[in-house]
Amino acid sequence: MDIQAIKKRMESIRNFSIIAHIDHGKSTLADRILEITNSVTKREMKEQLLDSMDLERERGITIKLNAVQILYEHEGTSYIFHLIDTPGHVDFTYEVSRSLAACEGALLVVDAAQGIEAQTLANVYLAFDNNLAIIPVINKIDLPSADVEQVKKDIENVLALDTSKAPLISAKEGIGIDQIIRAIIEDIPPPKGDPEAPLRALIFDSFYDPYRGVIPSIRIVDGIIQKGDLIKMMASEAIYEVVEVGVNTPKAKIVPMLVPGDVGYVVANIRDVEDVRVGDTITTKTNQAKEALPGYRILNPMVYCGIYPLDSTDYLPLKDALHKLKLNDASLIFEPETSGALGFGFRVGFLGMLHLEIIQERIEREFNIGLLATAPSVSYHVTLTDQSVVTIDNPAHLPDAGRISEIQEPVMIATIMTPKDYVGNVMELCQRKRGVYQKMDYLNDSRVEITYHMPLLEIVYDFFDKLKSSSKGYASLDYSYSHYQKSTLVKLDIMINGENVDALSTIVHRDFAYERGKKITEKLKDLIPRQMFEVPIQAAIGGKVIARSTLKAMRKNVIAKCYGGDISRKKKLLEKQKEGKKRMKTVGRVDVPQEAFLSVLSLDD
Amino acid sequence: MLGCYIHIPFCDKICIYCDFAKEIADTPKKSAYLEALFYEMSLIKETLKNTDTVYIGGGTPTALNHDQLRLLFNEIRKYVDLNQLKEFTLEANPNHLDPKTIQVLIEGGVTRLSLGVQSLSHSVLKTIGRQHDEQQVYQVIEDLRSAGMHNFSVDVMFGLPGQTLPMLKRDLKALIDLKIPHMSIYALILEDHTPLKHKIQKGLLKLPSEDIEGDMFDFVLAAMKEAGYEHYEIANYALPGFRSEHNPIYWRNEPYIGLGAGAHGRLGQERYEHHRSVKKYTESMLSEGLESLIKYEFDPVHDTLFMGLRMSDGVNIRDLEKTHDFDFFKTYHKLEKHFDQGLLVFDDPVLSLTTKGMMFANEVLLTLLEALDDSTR
Repeated sequence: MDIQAIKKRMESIRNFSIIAHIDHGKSTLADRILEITNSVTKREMKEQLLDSMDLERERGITIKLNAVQILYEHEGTSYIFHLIDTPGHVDFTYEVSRSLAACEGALLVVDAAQGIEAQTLANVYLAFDNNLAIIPVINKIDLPSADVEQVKKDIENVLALDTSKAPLISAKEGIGIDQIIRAIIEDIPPPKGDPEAPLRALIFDSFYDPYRGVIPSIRIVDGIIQKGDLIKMMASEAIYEVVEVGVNTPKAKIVPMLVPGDVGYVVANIRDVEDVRVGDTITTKTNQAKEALPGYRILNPMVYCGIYPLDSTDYLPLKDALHKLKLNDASLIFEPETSGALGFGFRVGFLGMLHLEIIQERIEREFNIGLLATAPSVSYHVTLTDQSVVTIDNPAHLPDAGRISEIQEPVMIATIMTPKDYVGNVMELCQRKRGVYQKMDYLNDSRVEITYHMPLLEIVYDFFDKLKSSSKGYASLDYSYSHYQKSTLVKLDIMINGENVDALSTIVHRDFAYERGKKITEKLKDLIPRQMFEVPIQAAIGGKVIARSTLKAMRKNVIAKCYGGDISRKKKLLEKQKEGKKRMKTVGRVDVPQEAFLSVLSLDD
Repeated sequence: MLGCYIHIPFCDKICIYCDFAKEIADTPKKSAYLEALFYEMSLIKETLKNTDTVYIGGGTPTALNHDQLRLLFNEIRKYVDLNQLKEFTLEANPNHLDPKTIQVLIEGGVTRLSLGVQSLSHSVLKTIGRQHDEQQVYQVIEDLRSAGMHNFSVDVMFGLPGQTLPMLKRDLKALIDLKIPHMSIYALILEDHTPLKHKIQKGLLKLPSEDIEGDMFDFVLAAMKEAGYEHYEIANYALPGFRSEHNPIYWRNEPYIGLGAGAHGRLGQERYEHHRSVKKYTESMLSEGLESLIKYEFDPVHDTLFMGLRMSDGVNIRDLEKTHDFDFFKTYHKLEKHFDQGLLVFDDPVLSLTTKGMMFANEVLLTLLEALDDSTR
């Protein structure tokens, strides 16, 4: 391809993403676009094609990004669309911002019955930051509860976007998809970029292929990339030789080169996922770009928990599973950890609670390893009396109170959108969870956006569940890191049968400690089955017991009657008890079930 | 010893806790069932010849009418020499046992009756769906004795919905005063797929708490001991000379024939069971004969230990070692904690549960199960 041909080709390219709240119809719309442009035949069409992991399809969320090239003829002109999928959850804000950076435009899909949600808003702001052309799309207009005019008004009021030409669609029913195609062609600008400048390609995702290594998904901004090029990652400084470039259609298709505006993948036998950080810029070794593309950040995990194999012989398989997951997910970090109660396991860092749940579920499901996870913790900055500062992400490791001069905890900026009827409830909840009020905006007559500074500890604990229950499920939440702040936190230890159970230690605000301790000990009493002897369960701060419950001794455990020669029934009952026992950890002399270790997570306040 | 168990899967009314093979049926259906049962007996007549004990259970065997009962007894007599039998037990509900029926049973060769009393408390009996009352129980016992039938057992349950400790105390005192020669006293097991479980899940009925059930068990053990009963199996108590002959066959892991719907048997190196549904049993027995039996695993070491420990006599470990690939030494150290807890004693060569151990038998058996798994791994 000569320069003129490349420039002509760039004119026909449209790169866009779809922004939507969970369940507002993003994946369904993506499927319809693939269908109408004949990118996949009906036969290949699996519902929600872009969400390829089972977990994604089940949960109806997008975890890993995908990018698809779509060729489309419109009024005699050929167009190349690149649809770049984004994850729709608060834990993955950075990934969203990078995939938006690979686009010139975005479809903002809003559910005609639900209206704008906090996360949608957060992602639209990311799109504004990236100077994208935004096309509002009103979806689910076929629902009886749809209120198109209200939603249009909200979009104009809140986002100052013109909705006069907004496509009104039903992705499920296939209504209005052609309007969207027209808007993509007319309203989203073609990419800019200089094919003759040194290569600059944005890495917005990567995936791992067991035979070909880590494969980054890239958007070419300047220059050309082709087989044989020696490329360099500008942040990680890793150098590799390109063995293949291609695009997803959605099947992988090898192409001779990728030019400005193109979205595709590059295979370079990359073994280490650390070398291919999302947001980094690829250039060539010999003709290096002067400046990397803006916006690269190293992600820090926000939430930590201990992950232990239920069966201690699964330690090595668990290690292997974490390594394999990491190949696809650079934000996952882990290191070995030992617990007196749980044995050998790992302390794992996550971007947020959803990330944590997804990883746990994938280990259990894809690797078939039974897990025991401790209550999540955040990362504390602890200044000791000798003025040295340590970072603590495992409550069990918090030094004695006497050695601590100050503890700082991470605080998030939490944005909550709620119908105005629940504003009172939501604010009360936020106050109770140590939130500090920042501001409140009325988006329209009925919806309100409230902003608080909120300790991440409280968000991790049960804030989201409580928010949902205090707003009948209507309120939505978005949060991002704000700052660290000094706080009066204490370590709450739990002792079972006189033995401190490190895996049950939590860090709590001093004001909540007594109540929390009482609730945990009561709950543990209900969760732990009776033993052959009486078991005291105590909560303590710095060795001082603040709450206690007593698990009474078991009275009997026997299959009383043995029915007329039917031995199999008795065997089954015993086998069942045996399996139950296997799923327990022995702490001291007490068999503690898995649920007990999560009990500290959800106590009804 | 060789036992023979015959299952009669019919009831007049279904008790809410029961998950045995049973149903309410009309006379023709019962007759068809008996036809299949008799056919099955004819197929194993050679084995039946050596029977030492017969036990007819249910369901409710007395849900058969007199003619059907006579037919059944005649059929048994065809293959089994009643004079050689050590025991011939039949289960019955107190409300079925009028003097006439008692006569039919005695004439048929029955030497021992097992009465489904369960409780003497009116409210409890009503809740669990039993049809008799306290007075009927006393009447039946009197009638049995005047008919010359002195060997009988009553079933008593505790941990029933609505039952209190004082109720149980009153029941036991009354039965002890009557010098009932044998009692089976056991805690209710809440089985899946029973009306009781359903009602409890829906909050319509409530079981006594774990602590109250524990108090009940404690009371039973103490009261029966004081009254001079031998606690010879976890749930069985006998006055001297009145231990059951048939049931210990299961516990000693000796062979037994099973006949009828849902019945289990153990012959040679094999265990087997029958289809539970009356229809399926009847049809498949008549068309396929013994091919319709469902065979399952027989594990002599495991079964000898697990059933044998239920008895106060325990298990002769050295005999087991002589006859099977079993090394007690390998499991001994795992069991040590239970010796310390006072649940288990090893008085070479006999391994047995203590009285306390009988209350916590599962704890010991689970350890044993793990130990056996480990030693065969």
